[in-house]
Amino acid sequence: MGAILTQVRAALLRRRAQWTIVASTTLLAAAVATLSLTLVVRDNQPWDDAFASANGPHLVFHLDASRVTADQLAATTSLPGVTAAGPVRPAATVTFQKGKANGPIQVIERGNPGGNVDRLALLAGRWPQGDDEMAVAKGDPGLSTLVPQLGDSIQAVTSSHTTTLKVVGVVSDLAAFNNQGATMRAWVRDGELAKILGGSDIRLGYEMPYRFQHAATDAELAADRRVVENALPSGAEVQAPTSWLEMRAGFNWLVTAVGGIIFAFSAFALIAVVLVVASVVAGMVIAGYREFGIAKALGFTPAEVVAIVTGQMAVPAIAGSVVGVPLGALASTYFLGATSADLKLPVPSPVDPLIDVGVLIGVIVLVALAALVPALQAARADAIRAITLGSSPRASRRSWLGSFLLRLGAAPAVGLGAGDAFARPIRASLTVVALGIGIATLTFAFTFGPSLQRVIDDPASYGAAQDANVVRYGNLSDTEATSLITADSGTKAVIATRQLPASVTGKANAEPLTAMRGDTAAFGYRPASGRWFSAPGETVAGLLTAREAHLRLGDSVAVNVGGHELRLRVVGLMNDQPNAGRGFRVDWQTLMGILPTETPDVYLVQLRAGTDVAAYTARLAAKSSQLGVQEDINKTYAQPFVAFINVIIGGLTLVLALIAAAGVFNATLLATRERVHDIATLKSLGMTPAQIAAMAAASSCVVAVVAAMVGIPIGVWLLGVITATMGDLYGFMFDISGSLNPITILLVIAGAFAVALAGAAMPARWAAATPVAQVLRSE
Amino acid sequence: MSLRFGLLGLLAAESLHGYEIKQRFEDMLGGTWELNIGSVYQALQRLERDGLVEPVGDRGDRGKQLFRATSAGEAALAEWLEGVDEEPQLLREEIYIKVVLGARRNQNGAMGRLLKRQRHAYLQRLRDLADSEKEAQARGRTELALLFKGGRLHTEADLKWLEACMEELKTR
Amino acid sequence: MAGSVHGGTENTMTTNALVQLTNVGRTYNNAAVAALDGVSLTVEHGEFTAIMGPSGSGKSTLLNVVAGLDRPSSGRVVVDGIELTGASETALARYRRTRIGFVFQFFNLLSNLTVIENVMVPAQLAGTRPAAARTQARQLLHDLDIASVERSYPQNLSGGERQRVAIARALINKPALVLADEPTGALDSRTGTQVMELLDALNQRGQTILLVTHDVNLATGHGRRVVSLRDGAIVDDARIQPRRKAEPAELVRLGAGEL
Repeated sequence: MGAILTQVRAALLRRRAQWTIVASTTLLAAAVATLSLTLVVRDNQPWDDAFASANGPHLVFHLDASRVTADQLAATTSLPGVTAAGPVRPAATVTFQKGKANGPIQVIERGNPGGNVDRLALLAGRWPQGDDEMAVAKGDPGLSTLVPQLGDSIQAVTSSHTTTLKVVGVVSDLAAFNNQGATMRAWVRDGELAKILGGSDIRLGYEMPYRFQHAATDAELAADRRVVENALPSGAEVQAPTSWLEMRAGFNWLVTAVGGIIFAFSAFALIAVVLVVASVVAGMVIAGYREFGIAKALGFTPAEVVAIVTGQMAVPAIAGSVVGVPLGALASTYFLGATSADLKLPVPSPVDPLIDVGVLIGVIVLVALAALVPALQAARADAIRAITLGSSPRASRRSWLGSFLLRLGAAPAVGLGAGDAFARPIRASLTVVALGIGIATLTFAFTFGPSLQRVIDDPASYGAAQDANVVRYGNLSDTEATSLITADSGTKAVIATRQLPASVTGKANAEPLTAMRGDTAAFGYRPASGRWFSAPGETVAGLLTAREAHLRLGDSVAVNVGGHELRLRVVGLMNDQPNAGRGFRVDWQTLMGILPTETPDVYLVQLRAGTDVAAYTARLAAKSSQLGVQEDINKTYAQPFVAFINVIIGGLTLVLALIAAAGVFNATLLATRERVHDIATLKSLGMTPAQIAAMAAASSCVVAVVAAMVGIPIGVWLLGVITATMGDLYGFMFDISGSLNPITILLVIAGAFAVALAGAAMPARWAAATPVAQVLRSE
Repeated sequence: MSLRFGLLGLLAAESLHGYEIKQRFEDMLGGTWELNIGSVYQALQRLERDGLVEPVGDRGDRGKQLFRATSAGEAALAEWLEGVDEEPQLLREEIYIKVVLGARRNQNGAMGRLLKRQRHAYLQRLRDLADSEKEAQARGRTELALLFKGGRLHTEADLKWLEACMEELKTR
Repeated sequence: MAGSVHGGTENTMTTNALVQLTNVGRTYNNAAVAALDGVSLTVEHGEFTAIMGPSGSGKSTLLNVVAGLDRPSSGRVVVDGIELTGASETALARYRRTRIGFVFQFFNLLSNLTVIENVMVPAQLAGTRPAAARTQARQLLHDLDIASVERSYPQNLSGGERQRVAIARALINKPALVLADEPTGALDSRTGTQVMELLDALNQRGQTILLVTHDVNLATGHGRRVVSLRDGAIVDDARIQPRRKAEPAELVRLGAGEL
């Protein structure tokens, strides 16, 4: 054992370049792997912890107070499968106004934040106790322009009167996201609602939270839901109940989105590291062939030789992982912290012993395995041959590329360098694949970001063609509202809409059906595929809804809206971002066909060029207290999201580029060391140091070209896979068909050359400085 | 010794008279050993006295008298041919004595200059011998070439010895 | 092959010397070790000079200095009118390309190029078009009697053939000076003789040759001058007369006329 360790130590001291490469690449791979695994496992941690401590509700039912009584609801507590429920809480959605901003808030009566089910945690302030007090959920400026702060006085506006309420507390709301998108919630003390609603015609509802025995999956929740619904009078529900799985997914959506990308990149990084290590070891074996022969002659068994080789790799791998794992854990805190801050929970420890030790051991084992194959070759070295020949036999390959280039009159340095690129095919292939992976991620980075950007820059393609949203409340009629809006000089076009829940047969949750009145196509609304609806009965479906209901273009789907059956034909699919990728967009007449008395209540407004949105919203809001005017925030929210994704992708691509460069560094170093004799000869024949360096660089450029041929298709595939996954998760489809254009390809190839040259630079310079005299006098 | 047995060797192969013996012997050695006819007859006389050669035919004109080896002579030749040369190494004594003497005298580096000139002479001789060896080879006279080679190797040795002397001189 | 010898274009000396070393010294380790010490040497056009010495005498260093592969610590080196002292690496490389032809003991051919490609390398480095270089290379291979192995790889050739390839390579740019470093060291005596005859023939057509060797026979057997080095300094500079056609008896005497 001691003899082995001595050998390992000695080898490590001499071969600094090799262990630096192995240590640095394993560090990077370990960091990225730890980061991605920690995120995957811990991503939901903060929310799950909060949910557990709040004894959160598996389902929250939204009921119509006029169709079901509080007693009937209370009776459902004892239904089979229900572990806890209630209490019944009166609730209503009211328009609130704060300064120029306004928006709907669901106000719920609740005596205290505690209880058996669905406890609430106060982030600041206290629970409302007196008149005109309310506690609000912590708002997100990215989701709404109305963000009440502690101490604010805001107005609840109804058709009959306005009530001013003071925000005395801020609550952490786990149900901030539900299947209708983000909803702002607020709580008042018992009895306060009657005061706010007064004589208005706002419908009173009930909120009833439930916990069940079996509520882990959508299927189980669907079953639970049926149990409760069967006990209630028909039509009691205003909309589908909010499920805790939706709440959870909604909360963590950002981390889930990037988590997927990070996971893919970390898999690639591990593969690349394996390739680089294999190449390093293979080179080591070739360079040390003679020494292994001597070692065997001295009495080291083949097994001991294998141990020496893998030991040399294991030591730097351990060093790299030991530093990389904590780095990855540290990096994950940024992401975990993002959600924790919202919930005012301590950032969950990024240290997950299972993951951390697992990655550490896993990376080391991978490196050892990568080293194994070449190590076995070293073990098989024939002692006598190795000592006499001095180096492992190297077939001289007809470098057709080199001859070809020289024939064409290329500079001898380039011709010789290019021809040498595949002199050792296995090593060259390993380098090509490692570099190819780097190029694949580069391709992904250059295509994904711009594709995403293109979509974001075209809000009409994802349902955000409007500049402002106007909500009509109370007894302001549709005609009045429309004339008020169109009268304003800033208004360019208006689409009136009404959204109702539509339940699709066979699906647990309802989808939003949005009926649109006006020239939607002229407004700018576009489907991602198919065409926009042009007649009643036609619909453009949200991508997520279509996927879940297995709908394709041309299919028919039966939905139930407000008790009425409606048959729709899918003529187009769209990225319906405001509806989280869900729902059906239909012509106004389609809705009129089944519910002729419905009137639009949300107006999508496009402003004339040069109109100040803030001034417009203030102006319009001032015309009637029953108009809630808000700037459309879909566009403004999108940009920072894109920037964030680009930063993540950029960082990961850099990591992989570094690993790839390390691979090229190793290959070039080995090649120039093996060719030191030829290099000295060429120097004696009059090749300048610059030409020698160019020779080494030319070799790596050939590798870069081949790697690009391998990597670009992989990158395109990766782009397809990731966009499809994001599409599946968020119902957001992008058109990536145009992303691989000649300019992008040129950029990627330039990037490939940059990485290859970066890796080859130092070994090329070292080669250029080869001392000639002593090399030439020996064989 | 080499002359005596060289002549005997010739006479063991065929009967020759005095002048022929001289010619043959000189040719065999490519001119490197010039004999005078007197030495030949003297050697023949001694060989005859020792019973190793005998005259052939009637004794007549000395110049025309043929000789050949006797059976005793052949036996003696055979024995000589198989014998190992254990004579001491012959060294060129002139330069050695100059070195020994001059080392004590060595006025104004005269010794050094002499040795240098001697060295040049050896170098030239090497060239000449190499040229001669090549020519002998070309003419098919391989045993002559071998002789020149021998000369070359000895000159090489002399050169090395000279260089050693020059080294030694430097250190004084 | 044309008999003209490539000459220098600048004459900084009054003599027409091809190689002029003036008081050249080369030390290592802060002057602790002197590989060359105050070496002054002049080599004329058309000379065949042997540099002789034991290992450690500095003959390799001298060769490297003349080739521009090593920089002297002191003194001045001018070859073919080009001042090597103080020249940059790049300038020295360019000088080597066109003015020097190297023949090494171990041939130093590039193993992944064919014979003709090997010969073409210096020409291509000098900027000759591939077609022209190929033609020149072919001619040289023909002159050296190895045209048949044009497309072979060095590993598949005998030592003698490899050395001829090396000579062809050395000659392709019509260098002013051919530097031969123990050219027969890796060859058997017969092949070695053939190679030396080639060099002799080259010299007869005007090629200046500098031969470096430890073997006195090689040094005296060719050319007209033997420069002897010892411990980094020139200790002798002897002129040799070739083909003196000496009488055998002048050269060798058997026995001493004894009986």
